[in-house]
Amino acid sequence: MTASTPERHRSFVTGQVELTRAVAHALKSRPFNPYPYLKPFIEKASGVREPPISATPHTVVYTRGSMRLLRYAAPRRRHRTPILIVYSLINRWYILDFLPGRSLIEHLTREGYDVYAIDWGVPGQDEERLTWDDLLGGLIQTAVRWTLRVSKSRDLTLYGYCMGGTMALAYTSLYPQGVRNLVAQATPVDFSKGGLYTLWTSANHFDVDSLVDAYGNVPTPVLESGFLMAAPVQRLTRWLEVCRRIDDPEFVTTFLAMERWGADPVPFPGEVYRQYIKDCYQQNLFPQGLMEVGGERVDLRRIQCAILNVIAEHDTIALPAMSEPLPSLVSSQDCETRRYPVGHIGLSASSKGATKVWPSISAWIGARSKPMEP
Amino acid sequence: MSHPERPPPSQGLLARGLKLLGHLTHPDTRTGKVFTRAEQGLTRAAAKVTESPSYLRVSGSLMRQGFNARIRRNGLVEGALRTLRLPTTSEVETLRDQLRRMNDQVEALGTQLELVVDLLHRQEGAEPESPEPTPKERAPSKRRR
Repeated sequence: MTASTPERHRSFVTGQVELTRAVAHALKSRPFNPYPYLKPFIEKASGVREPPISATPHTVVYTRGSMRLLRYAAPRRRHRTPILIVYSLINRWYILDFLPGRSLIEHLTREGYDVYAIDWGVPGQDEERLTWDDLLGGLIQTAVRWTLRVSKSRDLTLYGYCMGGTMALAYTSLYPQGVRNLVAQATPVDFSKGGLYTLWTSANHFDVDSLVDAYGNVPTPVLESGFLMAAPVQRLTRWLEVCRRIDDPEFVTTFLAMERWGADPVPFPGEVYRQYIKDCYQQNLFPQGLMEVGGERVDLRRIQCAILNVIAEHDTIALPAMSEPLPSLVSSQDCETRRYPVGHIGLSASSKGATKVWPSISAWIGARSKPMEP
Repeated sequence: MSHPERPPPSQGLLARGLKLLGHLTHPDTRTGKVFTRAEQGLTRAAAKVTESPSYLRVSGSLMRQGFNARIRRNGLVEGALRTLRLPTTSEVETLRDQLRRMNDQVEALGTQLELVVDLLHRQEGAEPESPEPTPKERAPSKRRR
């Protein structure tokens, strides 16, 4: 049945008002990312709405400051050893629970793992003075304890992604108790091989002290401008692909979900950023065992647990050369590097993830996890 | 499941316009080929600029000046507001953060209480073994009323 003419007029006017309101809202906050400006047009043209964030059922287990520890319980748990995901401080954790049927966390829970993820939240003024010591010895250590307590296990698999992998390595070096396995996914280790990011953060022209002193936490436009400058043209032109496939709801949903995640950066805790840039990008102390956290050196040779070093071959953020030296820096007898023909985000959200990447990682963890007692 | 008898949904003007834009910029079309060449040229130019020492020197210097100006301005604004005995921007921000966190804490408290009840139930049982590690902080109380 077709709508009457007044109804169609009313619908047209309502649509225009909604569109104008959405664009006006975007213009008011003026973000760098094109997502808030273009999303209303794509939504209106395709009839597709934004999918919900992190759709896999979960509960909040623990919270401190802006950090939350989330639990994604397995529908049928097969492994006693739980997985604790340590995500990066840049962007949000929910890329790991991207969309139903296309989610690493959902995949792991279906494989029978009790999965926990640290959501760092939106750092505010309380996080400005947060240090690496607070982060590792305070927040991550507490998250490890709560994970062990809730899952009723003696040890766990620590799963770090991107900068979260660097933090997971540093944590395991300082507090090895309770860490049975470690997965370092797209993890920067040798920061001298960071390409553009190493060049841009060089001490010769990047004054990290004045940035942190001026803002406290590093504001999102500063972080966004870095990613924008890395691929300024593609940032806009990739929207043309969604224009071509505007009548493919599945593609539009995936595209909008990805762009929404990309347009949802969070401020970076100031003092953590200061030390990260100075010790890692500017002086490359991390792989040399010279980075100090809470007065103690982060020596990767102290790590003896099983390690899976996951490398994305087309990664432009944590370049493969940054992760490759890991096996030679740790003391683990069981350290394996696996490479996948995907990009940085593709490890967690691409169609190849579900078929090629996650089953392989899950099998590696499964072979090293304690099964559930009968 | 497909419905061959159902006609395709009518596309609005906006959808048709976007599809046309997509078509005109597709690498297989003539206009798209020109667009792709322009895109590649711009990408090369942008890469050259962002890696050039002059750009890095100038942008670094401008950023430093901007940050230092902000440090001075923040000091002046906060000082003036304190003199007027008005809440400063940072105080309002802190209050907003505290409210947001309170909400998260209430949610987590619910889960933690469930865990405590679970532990108490297990202690009531006859099993003497307790293989779980005992975290240092917030250990559940052994007292029962």
